[in-house]
Amino acid sequence: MSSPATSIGDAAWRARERTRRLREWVVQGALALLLLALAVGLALNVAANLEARQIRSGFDFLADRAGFDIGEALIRYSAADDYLRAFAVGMLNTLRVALAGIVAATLLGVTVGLMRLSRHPLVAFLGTAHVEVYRNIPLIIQLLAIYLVVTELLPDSTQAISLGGAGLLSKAGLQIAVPERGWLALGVALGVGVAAGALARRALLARFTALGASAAALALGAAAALLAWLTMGMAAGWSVPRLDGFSIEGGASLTPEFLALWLGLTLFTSASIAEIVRAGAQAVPRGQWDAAMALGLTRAQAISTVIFPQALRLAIPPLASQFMNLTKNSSLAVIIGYPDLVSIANTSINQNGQALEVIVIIMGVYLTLNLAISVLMNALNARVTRAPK
Amino acid sequence: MSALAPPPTPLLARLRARFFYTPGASIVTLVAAAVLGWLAARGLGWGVRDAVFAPDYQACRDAAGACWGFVAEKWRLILFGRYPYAEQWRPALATAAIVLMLCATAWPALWTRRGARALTLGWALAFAVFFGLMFGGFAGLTRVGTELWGGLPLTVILTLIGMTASAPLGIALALGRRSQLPLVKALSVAYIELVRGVPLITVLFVATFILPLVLPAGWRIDPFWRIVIGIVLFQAAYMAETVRGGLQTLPRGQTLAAQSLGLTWWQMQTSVILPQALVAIIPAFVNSLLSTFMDTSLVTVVSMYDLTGSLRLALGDPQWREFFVEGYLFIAAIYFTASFGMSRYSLWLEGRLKADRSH
Repeated sequence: MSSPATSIGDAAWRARERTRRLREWVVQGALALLLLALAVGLALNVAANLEARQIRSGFDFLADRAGFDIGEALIRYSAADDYLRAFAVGMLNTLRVALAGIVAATLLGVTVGLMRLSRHPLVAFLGTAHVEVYRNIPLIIQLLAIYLVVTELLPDSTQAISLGGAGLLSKAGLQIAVPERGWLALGVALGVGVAAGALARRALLARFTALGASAAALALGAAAALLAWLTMGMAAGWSVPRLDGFSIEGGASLTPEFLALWLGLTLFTSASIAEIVRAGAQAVPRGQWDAAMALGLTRAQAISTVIFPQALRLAIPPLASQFMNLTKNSSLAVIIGYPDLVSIANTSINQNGQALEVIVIIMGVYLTLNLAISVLMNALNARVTRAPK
Repeated sequence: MSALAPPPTPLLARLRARFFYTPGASIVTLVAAAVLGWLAARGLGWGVRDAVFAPDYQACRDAAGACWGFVAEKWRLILFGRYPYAEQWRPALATAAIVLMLCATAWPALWTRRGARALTLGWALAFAVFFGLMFGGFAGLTRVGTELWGGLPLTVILTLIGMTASAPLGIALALGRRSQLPLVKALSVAYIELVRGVPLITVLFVATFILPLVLPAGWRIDPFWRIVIGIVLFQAAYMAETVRGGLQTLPRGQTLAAQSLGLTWWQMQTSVILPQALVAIIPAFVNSLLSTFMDTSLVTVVSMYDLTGSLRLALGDPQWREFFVEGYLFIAAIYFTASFGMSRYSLWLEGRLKADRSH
């Protein structure tokens, strides 16, 4: 025998190993055959059923005229466009609400998590109450209730609540004043904010710890972005929402559907994020703190270089799965009529019955989004867990 | 009283140490107390003082407070859905049987060999009672089809079937994920990650739209069982990950010891690995029961009248529609009570298991 793997053991052992390997191959071969037969059988059933119901198959339908209107779209869309464009509109709407939800839920969740850690009993109680209420009521009930509150209890658009001239809140949703040529203003503000943040971080790193510099840079970048946006508004003029007959014209509009979904996803997910923040902070052993003090680090240095990195390392993986949950939960849009991917898909199935193809599309999109979140969060994790140079 | 006990701190000093330890803390205390007090006063005024409790529409319209009359008028529709009105004692009794068994199972004194046998028997009986009462069709009970089931019994039975049927599938998938056989491992991983990567709604869509397509022509499967299959398939992937967590807590020495004793794979799993792994995940198991319970509220999307769906049915009455806040508070309270109770129970169990292990 030439290979070392087969030269170990005595003859009886080798014989037993051979039988064992043979059995493994037989088991797997049988399993493969069984699954293949099942797949072929199901495929035949599907083909027969589709023919009996006179439903087409294949993805050709994507080029057909969709023929239905969509309430809100980030790209130009009309009922005359094809299904492919309708699905793109739905996917962008999913992305929009998921991104807005992730940002808002993280901010709220971190705040509530820190509140729960407070030594002030009332503050800690408020944090706990927030977590328990939003975590223990199903998201779908929260969404339905919030949507009804927005569309039934808010005043009509003719008597909208004015938010200091900068916005109007009514059954028609929230309209806010934005600069004319809003996309340009948004782009410029984003660019200025990122550049200012990066510069500030580089300048501050020399004086502060990495955490302090990053936090300060984030705040400075956000302030710079806001300033740039306001300046663009001054330069180009403001588009202010105002009542025109029975409808509200001008400004940027957030529909009641978007508002309800965004708010519901934010509240529901913030409860879980708060728990992650709290667990992360409490999991760092007290000895770490004592050791940092013994080394003569200042309080800020200890938090920034010893406590926070360890807490973050524990928090990032569960945070990533909460971001994925939020993205998946945004599919509940269908119940309140926000035109996300699943709502569009549902309409499409009702029109042409091509459920198989449509469900493959939805699954593909969600799996890709999850993969993207997981790759991004892994990159972040690798960055924060890297040992400082 | 021991002579060594510290002298009791006066109440004022204790309050000061807890609520007014710095000027900042004092301000926070005052603001928070004011806000909480105002909210409590408003809440009590709306929900109790000015509220109408009788199912009287006109009184509700005139009152400044809550209209609990809506709940008083519609509670049977909300709790039992479209189940025939005169027969609603049947779903009530059926649900009670299941809830009773749940409480018995949660009682650790019964977690012995004899207790387990009694519990298994009890569960078999409870399921028989549930389906017997719900379906009827014998001993003078009229037959009621699944299309008329709704409300709390539907929520409860979807949760329990989802849980019990997904457990064996989940265990199989978890073992498959750790299998030495490449094909078995690849298939298990692919299934688990695929299902966990998509929203429950898509799985319910598959159950609603695709399941009828893959069955041979002429076979019909009614929506209730389609949804049950969907929930079980979905839950199995999550159960697999829970079980994997339990398997990972076992040191590798357990496997090696079992192998060196000459146990077969099957003997090793059933008498060494799984018993230990499954005990370790009892708290996690309660948490997945909790999330299944919350998830079942999604079936309202595919036109089933579970608790959420039957509330929407009740709100379909144009006269009472404006009192939706009271209706949602009612079912939110049901979900909250059950869910809060289960999560507290799971925490308590976790503490108990930890204490067991430490001595």
